[in-house]
Amino acid sequence: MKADYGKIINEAFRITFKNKWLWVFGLILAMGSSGGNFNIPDAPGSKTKDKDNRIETPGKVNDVYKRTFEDGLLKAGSVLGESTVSLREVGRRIPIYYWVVLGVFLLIAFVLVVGISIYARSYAYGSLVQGVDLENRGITADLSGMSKEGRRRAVEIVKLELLPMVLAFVDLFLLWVPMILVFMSEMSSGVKLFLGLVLLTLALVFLILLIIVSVSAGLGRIAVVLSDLSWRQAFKKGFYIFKKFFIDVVVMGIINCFTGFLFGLASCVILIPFMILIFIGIAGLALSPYAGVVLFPLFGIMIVALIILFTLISAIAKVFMESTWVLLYKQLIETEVPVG
Amino acid sequence: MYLVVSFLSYDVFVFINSLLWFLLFAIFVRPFIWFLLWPVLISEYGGDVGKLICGLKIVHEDGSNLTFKRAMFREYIAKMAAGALFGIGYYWIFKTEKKQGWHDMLSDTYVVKEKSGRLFVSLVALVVVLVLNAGLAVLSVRSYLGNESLKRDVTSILEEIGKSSSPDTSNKVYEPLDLKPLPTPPTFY
Repeated sequence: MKADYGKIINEAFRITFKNKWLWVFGLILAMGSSGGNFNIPDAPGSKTKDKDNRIETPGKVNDVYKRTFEDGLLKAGSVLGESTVSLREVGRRIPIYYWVVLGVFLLIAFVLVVGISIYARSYAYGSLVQGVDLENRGITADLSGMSKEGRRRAVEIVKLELLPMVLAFVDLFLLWVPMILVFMSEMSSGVKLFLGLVLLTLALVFLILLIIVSVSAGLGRIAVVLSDLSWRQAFKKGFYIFKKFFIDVVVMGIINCFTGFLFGLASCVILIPFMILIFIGIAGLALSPYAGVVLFPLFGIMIVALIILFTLISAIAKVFMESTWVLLYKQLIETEVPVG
Repeated sequence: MYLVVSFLSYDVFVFINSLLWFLLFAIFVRPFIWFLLWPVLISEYGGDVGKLICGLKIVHEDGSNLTFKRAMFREYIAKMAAGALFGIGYYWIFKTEKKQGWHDMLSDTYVVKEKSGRLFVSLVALVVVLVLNAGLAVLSVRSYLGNESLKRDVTSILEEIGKSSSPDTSNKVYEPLDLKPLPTPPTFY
């Protein structure tokens, strides 16, 4: 192993807490990667895969749904005025071009949101790499300077970001979807097993390929900024570093996984006093309903404070982890080509 | 305005149809037009309507107008950062010497005063916009209240939905839900 992890972590820690402008880019990254984690438990009776069971154990949600939509809305037609027949008629009368326009605008909205999100992330990565490098060389980076570099490199980094994404889509549509279709088909179990095993092997091979491409693209992102390379050259360089310093890169990945866990743990520790305060508040409400006048605004403030704290912790974690990768890249490059 | 026209219709089909178009426009079409319009206004004229009325202009650090690309960047990516943590980046406008928020620092732009003494004009514009919006809202409500046929139909639908979703009255109006018995568990030999 060539990397000095103690030095990398210490330096990354120093850089993260010395220049707080780096957190701005961490915020952009944190906002780009959050969301989609709303694992709300399902309503009773709704989380059963068996259709019969679902009908036989109706939860409140199913009940209200049935009453509202099946019984209520569909029967509502009977009480309309003379000029109307039923709500089904309303649905039939919506012109087809309405759905076409709706579809087109939904597609545009989706493309715009994804496009802006990828560009913002690439820009933030570029700016962050530049800022970390400058700080590591003892130069104080300002927001405008880092942003300029990030804007200059954003398009090349976008191309690198798209590479593993395209591969993941190919993986999904060429291997995983056919695998599901095979298991849903009417074929004999022997053929199913054989095809399933073949597809599973291919999927695993593809997964390893995807990991290699993702890591190479991740290292290439740093190469785009620090070595002033195009996305192709940067990807090749990233792959070369990954191949040559395989153990160093994997260990850094494990360290960063652990760092992520520690940041998660820190978030939980912060949450505990807030939860205790909320329980005390609920007890206060049970004793006297008038306490709500004071407690509800306090709960509101606490929720705002929690959102701020969690976003900030997430941003700091992003800056710290990106710093470790940049410093590792610099160390490995220095090992490869001795300075002077 | 579109909503006012829909409330004047005497057919519930026309009303629902108009309402759907209104929602489509409000949720998708209007934001899309604004998405393109704002950067165009900023790059061509130096700001959106509000800024122009107030005599303010957004310029690049060398004093020139912003390009469309930079205006897009300022509006949608730089402002994303400035708006994080409940808009903390905008607070820097009061804090820095050049009155730059994070979005201005990130996109190398400044907001400058092009014409001074526009406070009165700005206030008049604000009042006009508020009166116009309030007027449209009042007109919508009045046309809905004056349209007996539509009011009756909409009220009936709402009552029906209310009745069907309320557990207290549901037993009086509807048959109870057809609940099948639980299936017998599979027997393993």
